[in-house]
Amino acid sequence: MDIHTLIGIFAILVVIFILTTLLVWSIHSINKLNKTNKTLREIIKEKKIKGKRNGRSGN
Amino acid sequence: MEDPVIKSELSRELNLFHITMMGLGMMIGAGVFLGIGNSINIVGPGGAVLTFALNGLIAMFTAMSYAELSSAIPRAGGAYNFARIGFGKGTSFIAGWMEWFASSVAGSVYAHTFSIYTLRYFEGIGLLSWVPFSMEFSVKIVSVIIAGVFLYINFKGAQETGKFGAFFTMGQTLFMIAIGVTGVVVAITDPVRFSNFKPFMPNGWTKILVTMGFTYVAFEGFEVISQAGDETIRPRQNLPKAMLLSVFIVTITYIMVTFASIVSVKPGMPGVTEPIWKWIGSHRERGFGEAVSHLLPMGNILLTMAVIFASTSALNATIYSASRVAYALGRDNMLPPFFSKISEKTKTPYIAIASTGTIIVLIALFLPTVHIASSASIMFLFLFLLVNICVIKIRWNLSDELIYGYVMPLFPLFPIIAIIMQLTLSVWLIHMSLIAWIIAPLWILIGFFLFQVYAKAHAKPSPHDIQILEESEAVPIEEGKYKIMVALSNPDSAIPMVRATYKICSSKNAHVELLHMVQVPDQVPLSDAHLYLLKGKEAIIEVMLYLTPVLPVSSTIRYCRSISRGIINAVKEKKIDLLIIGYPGNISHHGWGFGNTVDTVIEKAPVNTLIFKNVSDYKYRKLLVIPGDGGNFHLSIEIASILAENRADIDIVYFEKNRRDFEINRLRTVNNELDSLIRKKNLKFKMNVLEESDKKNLNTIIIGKSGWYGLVILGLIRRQNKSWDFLSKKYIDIIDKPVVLVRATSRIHNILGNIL
Repeated sequence: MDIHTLIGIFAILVVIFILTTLLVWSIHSINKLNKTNKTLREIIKEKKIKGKRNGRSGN
Repeated sequence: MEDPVIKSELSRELNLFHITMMGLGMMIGAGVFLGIGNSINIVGPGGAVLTFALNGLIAMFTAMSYAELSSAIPRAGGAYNFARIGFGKGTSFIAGWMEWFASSVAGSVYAHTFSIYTLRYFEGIGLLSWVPFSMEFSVKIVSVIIAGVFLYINFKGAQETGKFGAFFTMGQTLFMIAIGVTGVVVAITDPVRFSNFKPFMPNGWTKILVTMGFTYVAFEGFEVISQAGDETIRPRQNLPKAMLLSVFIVTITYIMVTFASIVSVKPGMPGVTEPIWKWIGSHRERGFGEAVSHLLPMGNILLTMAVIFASTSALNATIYSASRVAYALGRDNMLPPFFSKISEKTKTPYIAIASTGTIIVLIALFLPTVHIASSASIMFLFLFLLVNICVIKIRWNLSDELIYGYVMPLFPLFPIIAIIMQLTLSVWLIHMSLIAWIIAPLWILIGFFLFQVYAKAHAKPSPHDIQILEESEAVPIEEGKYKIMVALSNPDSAIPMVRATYKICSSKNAHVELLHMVQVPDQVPLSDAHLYLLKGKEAIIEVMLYLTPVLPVSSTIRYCRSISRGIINAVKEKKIDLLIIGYPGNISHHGWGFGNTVDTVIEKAPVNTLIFKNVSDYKYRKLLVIPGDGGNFHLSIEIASILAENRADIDIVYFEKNRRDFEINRLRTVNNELDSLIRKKNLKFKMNVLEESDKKNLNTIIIGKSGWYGLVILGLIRRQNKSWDFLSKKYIDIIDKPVVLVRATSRIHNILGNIL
């Protein structure tokens, strides 16, 4: 198997992985977000506060 | 929803399954059947699979933009609606105009595809020998008939459209999946077929861009889902899910089908002397059919049925999409309002469907479809590009107002990648069809003309528009003159606030722009905004009487749904150099520093901003300046020097680590105006250095110190949690002296802010 074939197969697998990850993450995120009506600022704010509670404030 | 009258609305009858199938139906159209053989011919067997995989990735990025916008703005209109909110009515009309044309023309292409494949099959089995017309004429007649059938189905109602679409799409998707699965099974049971992939990329990697451009048409279609915003059950949830699901399913299906096509022919098959990939590629558009006919029993008839399913479901979806764009244009008076008339019986926009049908039929009858289809592709690429720009702009401008059902990760990485790729692919289409690059701009020019003569004057204000109620300009503004905008919110505090700003305005010899924003509640139609005008007008008149004798003053009263967005737009529009707003008081609001209006303005307005708390025209002899960080130092010193009385003492408090930023002498050498002001007033500056350890006691130090001063100037710094703060907002409320909050913007922020 030459290097082009290896790179090609790897690229196809990576694309499938990215597509699957984006889809799964997105569906999960949609289900979570639609439980409440929030603006984007409120969503981001909530994430930051949650991050701080978990000790991941980034400060 | 603006007029208080009973109106017909589209009925909400489509669920997640219906709209996912609608997107799939439009995507698995003719593109993939024509694309596989040509791709294998140009880029080889491995390259063909990679082509569909990479195109799927770009389509997914754009689908994420569509999904986010559709979840926040779930109304019929798609790109047209997004452009309206992102850029205003001019761009949105052109977006809708292009989308209507592109979808209609795509519909006539699908009608032709159905007609050609069906008639060829019947001709092959000898059933057309009695027909007296030429094949070309027969193709046109059958195209018109099939278009007529699906126009009628669309007229019958949303649910019928969804059900029929879902039925046809299920058929074609299952057939495609069956091909893919059979291919995988055959390859596993007979591994010698894997040798068809040698060489993997015979013509090099660069050819992939060529095949990606050629096959991108097979990924156009998920945007039709956004047109179903008014007819979908739980649209914020179902629209984004359907878009992402349809792109995912279609990409995986295309990868599997391309793989199956390549392994479908066994090496050494009688009659095939060349490598298998070359043999499939040599059949070009028919390559897929030739290959698959060896894979399945009764391959030819199954393939014909698949093309029938694919082209009809794509035709159904394009009629739906195009007519909803025409409906939205009519609804907003961009086109004459009869385009938005809804049938009382079927609840569908019958005039929009009829006019879309007219375009489809005329094109199918009279125009060569190949170049027109290329024009549609260019317009779709431009549309997708526009949507990717819209998603960035709308997030920046409206994230505080819209309720999002989906928020894409790693923003804005994916839209930016999609923009770059779509630009590349659309430029590449020049090589594909020069005529398309003449037709597409011509259609856009007609759109510009129509906008100027009709839409510009008649378009209804959108709920997100900012309208100017009254505007007066005292004198023509000189080019390059310093401009200060004073945003007046409370008429009672207008005069004291303007008194305080007077020193700054006269010191800068500035042109003063007075702005009063009238917020119209969502429940009140924008047409009734004048009812809210009176108080603001009183304040403006009072202030103008005060300022006009000494300074050139202009005034504007505007109304919109959001005060902050109104102020930001006015700042950008009038190219303001300094914005002055009043302190909103101690607003304790979860997630906000100074409340949603002030927070949003200081975060997004591309201008230096001052917030005044109890500042008056009092003679300040002792001033305390705490810039917070280096960025605010220059502006803080400048404002302190202007507001200070002659021979005033100005104490500057800063941390040791920022010392190099805080050098008064260096500042004076770069700002001659400031230097002469300091000399003229004979101001005395004293630098107070705080150690890092003092940070813990900052509260006590600031409050203790501020008691000795007449005016405190504080720099605003950005906190990790995105709210705006001076170290901690509580100081401002505790300090009982007049306070000026200073927020200086960087040049990069100003440029970005103006663009967005």
